[in-house]
Amino acid sequence: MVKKIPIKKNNPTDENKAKPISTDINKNLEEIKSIFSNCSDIVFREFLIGYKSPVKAALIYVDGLIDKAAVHDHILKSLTLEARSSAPNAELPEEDIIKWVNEATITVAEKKQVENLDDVMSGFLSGDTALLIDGSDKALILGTKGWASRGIAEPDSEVVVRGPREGFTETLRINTSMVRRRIHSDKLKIESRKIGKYTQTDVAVLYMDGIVNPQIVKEVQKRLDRINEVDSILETGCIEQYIEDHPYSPFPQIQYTERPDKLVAYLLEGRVIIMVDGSPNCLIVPTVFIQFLQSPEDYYSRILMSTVLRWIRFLGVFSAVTLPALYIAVTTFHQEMIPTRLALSIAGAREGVPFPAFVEAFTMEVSLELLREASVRLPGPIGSTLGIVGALIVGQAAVEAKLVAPQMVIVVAMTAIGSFTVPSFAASIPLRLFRFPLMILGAVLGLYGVALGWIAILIHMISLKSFGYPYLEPLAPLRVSELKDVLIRSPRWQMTTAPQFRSPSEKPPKTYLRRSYINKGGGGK
Amino acid sequence: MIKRGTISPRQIFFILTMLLTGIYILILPRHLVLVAGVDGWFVLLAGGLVSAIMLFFINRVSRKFPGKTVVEFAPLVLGSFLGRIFGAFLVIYYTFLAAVSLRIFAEMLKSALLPDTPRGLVLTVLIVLVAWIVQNGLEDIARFTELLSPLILLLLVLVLLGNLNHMDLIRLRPVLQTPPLDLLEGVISSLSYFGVIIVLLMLYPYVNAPKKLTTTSLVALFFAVSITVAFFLGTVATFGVYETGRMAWPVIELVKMERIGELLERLEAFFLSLWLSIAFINVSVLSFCAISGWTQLLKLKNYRKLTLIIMGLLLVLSLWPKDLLALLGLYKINFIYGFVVTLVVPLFIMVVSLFHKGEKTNA
Repeated sequence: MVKKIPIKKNNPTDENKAKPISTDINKNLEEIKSIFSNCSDIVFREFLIGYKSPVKAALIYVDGLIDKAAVHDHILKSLTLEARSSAPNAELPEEDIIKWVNEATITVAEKKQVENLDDVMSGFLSGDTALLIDGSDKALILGTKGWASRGIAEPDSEVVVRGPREGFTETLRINTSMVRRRIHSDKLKIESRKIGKYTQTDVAVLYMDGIVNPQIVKEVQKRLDRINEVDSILETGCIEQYIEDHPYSPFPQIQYTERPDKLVAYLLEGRVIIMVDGSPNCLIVPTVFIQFLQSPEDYYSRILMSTVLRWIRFLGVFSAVTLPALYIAVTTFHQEMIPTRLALSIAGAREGVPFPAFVEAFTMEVSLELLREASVRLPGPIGSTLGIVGALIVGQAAVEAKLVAPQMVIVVAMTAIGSFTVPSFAASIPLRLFRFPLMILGAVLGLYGVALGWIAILIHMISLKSFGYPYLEPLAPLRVSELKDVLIRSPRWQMTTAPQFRSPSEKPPKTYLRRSYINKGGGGK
Repeated sequence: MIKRGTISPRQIFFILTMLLTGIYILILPRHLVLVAGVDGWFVLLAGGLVSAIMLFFINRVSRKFPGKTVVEFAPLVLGSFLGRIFGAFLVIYYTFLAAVSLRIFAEMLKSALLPDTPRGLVLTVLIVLVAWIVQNGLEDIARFTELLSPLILLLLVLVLLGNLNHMDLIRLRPVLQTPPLDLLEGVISSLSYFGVIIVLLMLYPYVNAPKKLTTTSLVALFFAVSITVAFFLGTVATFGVYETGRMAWPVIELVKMERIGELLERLEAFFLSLWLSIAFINVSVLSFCAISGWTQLLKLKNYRKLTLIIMGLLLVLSLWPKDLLALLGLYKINFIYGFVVTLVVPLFIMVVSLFHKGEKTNA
């Protein structure tokens, strides 16, 4: 079973030993105030509990990170007003006050008793409220997290026609709750840890115990342990760069998603999810390339349609990478391949164009990339204007000025459209990049060059691994039984042996995941 | 050292099929027609049968020395000196085959696709890619093969089917009228063609389920023999004996005659670019065998150091023959050498499998 790796706390101040809480509340407050000097958002609220021999107490919280109503109604009000009516507390020995407060007075659901100042500080820094009581060497951390966050909305980057319209937000807890809401199972494990010396970002590792290969969880924990020393984790992208297998490869080896339904599907396939507080994107490991060409919608809509759409995407990928290179190669080297009439029409259109096909294609592709980048940076409505100006007006003018042949415009437009069919933005980037070297190869060596280029791409992709799993799986180490989710999208009731479906009986973990990649080489000597 | 035991029998199946139907299929119909006339198909079948027997022995002897390649176990059996010479003999054969495959492919490219591009450039680019995948290891080569082989096999079938309307079975007659001596010569040369299967001796320790390999390799051989026979019959049925004998690249001519409606014609450029992957797989496997063979022969720790040297050597070797005629002359040497190898190897193997008790008693 899963061996739990102890989660290391790497609070910057606990290098030697955690500071104990003094029984003198003023001393504690002095200490914390001196540490948090010049921090205007930290609020210290001092008050008295009881009326016969009142005990001094203090609340510490970060303004804006707490739910003010909770602090008012369930802490302050309870302790100051309602506590008096509950029981005479004057007879209580001082050390029992905290016990009494803890057990009988506070009306906050979530609370935790801590014994040193560092836990107090990290407690209120993460949005909870710390309660210090005079005469006690313990403190209470009360769960009052509640900050302004973006509402749940449909993610713009992963739009589906059919399927839920929910997307993750920037708050880790909301995100995990969305997952928990979909999996009502004790097998869903959510381990959390803090990463980042200064940011102390909450990072959660989610997996389905019993489905996941425990080796993967172990590997993920190991890699996350290694990055404990970094200063900051701002987005899942930061973690991705630290834990991926091949940082210099243009291919993304970890997929991210903003969609809870997609994430849950992957969880049930036996993958591990990494969530980071402050980012709506969640990492899915391990990732294989074919995942980038699948959309959650494939599984919701009808079989035939999804299968056809998948092939359309394969076509899109192929044309996004190869089409301009093929056009250059065929028109420059292998004119004999084109039937005479078509050749004449191409030649007629190219009449008067002063550049060789390669220069023509290259400039067009570069300007396409320019347009694309420009329209990403512009706000929505202006972006579409740019598209019209760029594509229609400039394109038309370039053809009329005889700078490019109309066929070339068609080819370039097709490559752009092809690259848009890839559901994942991250995966379409390497495809866009590879177009250029392929065009050069096509211009130098013709079709032979294009084929060489593809071989080079495949060699690279085959050598990639994501957390020990071959990247081109299930194509390159061929797994015939899994092809039914790659070449076609077979009916759900046929995919019971595919990795995303658990076997009906609750067997030990190994049988769930029919892939043994992580153990690969176990037979070697 | 490369991790052993990581290749699946299915991958070996594809590797063997690709090797056997590989580059030589392009010249094979011409060569066979010159030797055995219309009866080339018989020659191929007979050669395939003999190779099957050989394959049986290869499997048997390899399993006697689990985890060891031929270069490693030959000295155990034949004594240090003789064994090493034997190993060197095989390794040179692999190197030579890789170089000839490269050159045949380059020659074909030059005549059909890129007449004005210097051979050196064409070969250098290819060799760089081969060096890259060889550095990545046999596992990657196997995956690459597995990824592309189904497509290639489909392509081969399409090439034959596309020419169905040009074929005339009458051109295949008369059946078995060739003098027996010529037939025997043909069988021997086809034997050296199928002799490529001795790469299995080098690949054996890398397979994770060696017990399945006998069936796998025999099925691969059967597949390959069927494909070659089909291609031979297809070519001869299309062009007739004399025409086939006069063509440099009969299979390419076959492709040239095909067209897809009004959309595309003269598909040989397209075909050759796809054929590139066969050439690539062939050369990669052969160079891997050569490089790991040399490494084991010289008792080096890391085969990666040798890659650059061997790849350079391959480039020089493959650029050596001046033109196509010289190359075809070389190809004849290949046949002779291959014949010796395919004769010596089974003999050696038989001796070992009869008299040697295997790894445990000897090592």
